[in-house]
Amino acid sequence: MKTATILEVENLKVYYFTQRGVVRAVDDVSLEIDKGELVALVGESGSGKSTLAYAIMRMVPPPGRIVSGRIVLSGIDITSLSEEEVRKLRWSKVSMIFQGAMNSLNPVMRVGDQIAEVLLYHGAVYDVEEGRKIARELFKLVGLDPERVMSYPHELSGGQKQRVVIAMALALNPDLVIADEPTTGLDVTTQAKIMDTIRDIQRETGISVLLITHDLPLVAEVSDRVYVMYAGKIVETGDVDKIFYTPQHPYTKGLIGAVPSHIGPKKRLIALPGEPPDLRSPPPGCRFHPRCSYAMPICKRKEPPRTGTGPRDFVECWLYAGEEVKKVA
Amino acid sequence: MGLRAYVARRTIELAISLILFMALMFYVFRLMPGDPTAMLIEETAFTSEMREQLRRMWGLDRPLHEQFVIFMKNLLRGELGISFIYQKPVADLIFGRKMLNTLALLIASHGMALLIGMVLGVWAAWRRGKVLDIASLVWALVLHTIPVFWLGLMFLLIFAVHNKWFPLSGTITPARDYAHVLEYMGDYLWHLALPAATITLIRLGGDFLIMRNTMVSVIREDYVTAAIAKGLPEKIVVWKHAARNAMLPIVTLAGLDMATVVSGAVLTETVFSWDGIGRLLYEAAIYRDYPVLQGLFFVITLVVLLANFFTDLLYAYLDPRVRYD
Repeated sequence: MKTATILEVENLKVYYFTQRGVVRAVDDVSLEIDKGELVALVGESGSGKSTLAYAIMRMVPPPGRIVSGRIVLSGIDITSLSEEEVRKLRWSKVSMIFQGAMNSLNPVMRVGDQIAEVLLYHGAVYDVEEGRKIARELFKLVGLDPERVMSYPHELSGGQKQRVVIAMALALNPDLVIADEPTTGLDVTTQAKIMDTIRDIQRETGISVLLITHDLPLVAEVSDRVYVMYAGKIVETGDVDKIFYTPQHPYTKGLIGAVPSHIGPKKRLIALPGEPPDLRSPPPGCRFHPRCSYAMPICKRKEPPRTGTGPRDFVECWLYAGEEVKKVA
Repeated sequence: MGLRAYVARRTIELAISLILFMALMFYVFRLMPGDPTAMLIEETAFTSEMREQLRRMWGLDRPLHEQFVIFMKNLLRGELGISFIYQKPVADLIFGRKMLNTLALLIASHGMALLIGMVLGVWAAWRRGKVLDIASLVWALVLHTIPVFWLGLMFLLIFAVHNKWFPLSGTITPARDYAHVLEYMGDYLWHLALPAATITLIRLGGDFLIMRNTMVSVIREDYVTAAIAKGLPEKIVVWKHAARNAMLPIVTLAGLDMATVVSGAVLTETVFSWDGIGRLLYEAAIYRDYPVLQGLFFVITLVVLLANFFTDLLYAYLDPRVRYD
């Protein structure tokens, strides 16, 4: 049985048209999320992860804009919708747990009301009191004292605020929740608890989650599938075990090699040499070649082709390109 | 600390500040060169005996510290004394027509400026870099730098001299009979229009700039991005989430401006011969009318202190993070 696809991103390009040049933040990216899946998107800062997230919300800030490609969310191509149509889909189909979630709560509003207003303006309830009632239920779901709905953000701890933000993301029972670095700024114990909460709720409700992070141990623990992003492109994707046990792309290998491990024999951490490229003028050919220890002459001339490594897995690297592709190139 | 204890503490602070300030003012006015009797010297029949008599009557012959004790005693009894010039109780002078005229002029103009400046500032910031924003910005900077008396004179020239749409001066048409109270109010508003428009335009620039600048920084906050992501209508995002958080600086400013509201607008009131507190203050300073000066500064100080107090209370309402302590 084939499960329904919740999100389908096809050949998406999102560029920022700055005065100092065009920044190709998301360049020809394709990505798929099925119902009930927890998919991780990993990559260094500045690789375009957050831009991709904002594009899925149709909220790319100017001077950025979606140049081409499709984003099909719950069967609707949102790239061609009007602003008003998109507004109605936001939060009801796709919600977001923002990076630095503490700051995404309005300091002068009671946290319960910030949830109630979502329900109110999307027509799910008729008054604030009814909205607060649902907010109380959501608070219980994320492990918060329901009476906390009357608190202001500054009266809550970092972990509690994070739970409020998660409760808020679930308010309209969306198909997809984008969690952009949901645990940054929290201490390690709280991080683990928050992530457990997200995972539990996700399993219970069957909501799909796109987890955006550079926290690899977290990815290994909770996600079903992984997309690895580098300099605006998806360089490799596969099941979580495949990515962690048999990474193909030299960049993925580098990322995993750079994570300290608490178990197994001690080994040296391998840091990736160099810096990610300037996306206004990315290197020709494979964007990773200046930092790649396997780089070949062809990597500097031509972009690597997509090589399938499973039914829905692929790697974009010349090392794995078939002979016939290489000959044509 | 609870609200009650806070109010009690602030009230004591307020009383102490008021007494200290009045003492300071008492000496400052008397340190100014000049003599209250000087304006009468021009009259030929004014002899030095008459002058001495006046000084005795006004109590100016006594040592300063004695004068001060008398002044403070009277003040504590709620008496502000009698004007040297008008020969009328100071309280009647201040809390009469003049105060009403000044309040009408300044509340109308400050209110309008605040309202328009805020709405325009909020939308300009939201549509940053668009035509509305740039145009408003240019106009605000121009208005902010124009001297108020120049704008007043230009208004008079254009709207009262060349086009006789509005009256040249005063608060009502002299010696006119009114059939109905509405007719009187109409006449009053007709006189009010030009001076009020002058102050409104001058203040509008500043109010707009402050609101816009705060709003521009608030818009970058994560909770505004979150409000958009939540699919809330644009008006709700702008007003409920962004503007409310950008309100504090302009509330502070409006609170501090209470001083100008009661002390009148000296320049505007002079240009338009508006019979208000500003002109009373000006006259009292010129003629060294100590009781009127003391009375005016007492009222102004009290209002400023009270306005600060209420601004602080309003803060706590606007921002729940503000606590009384």
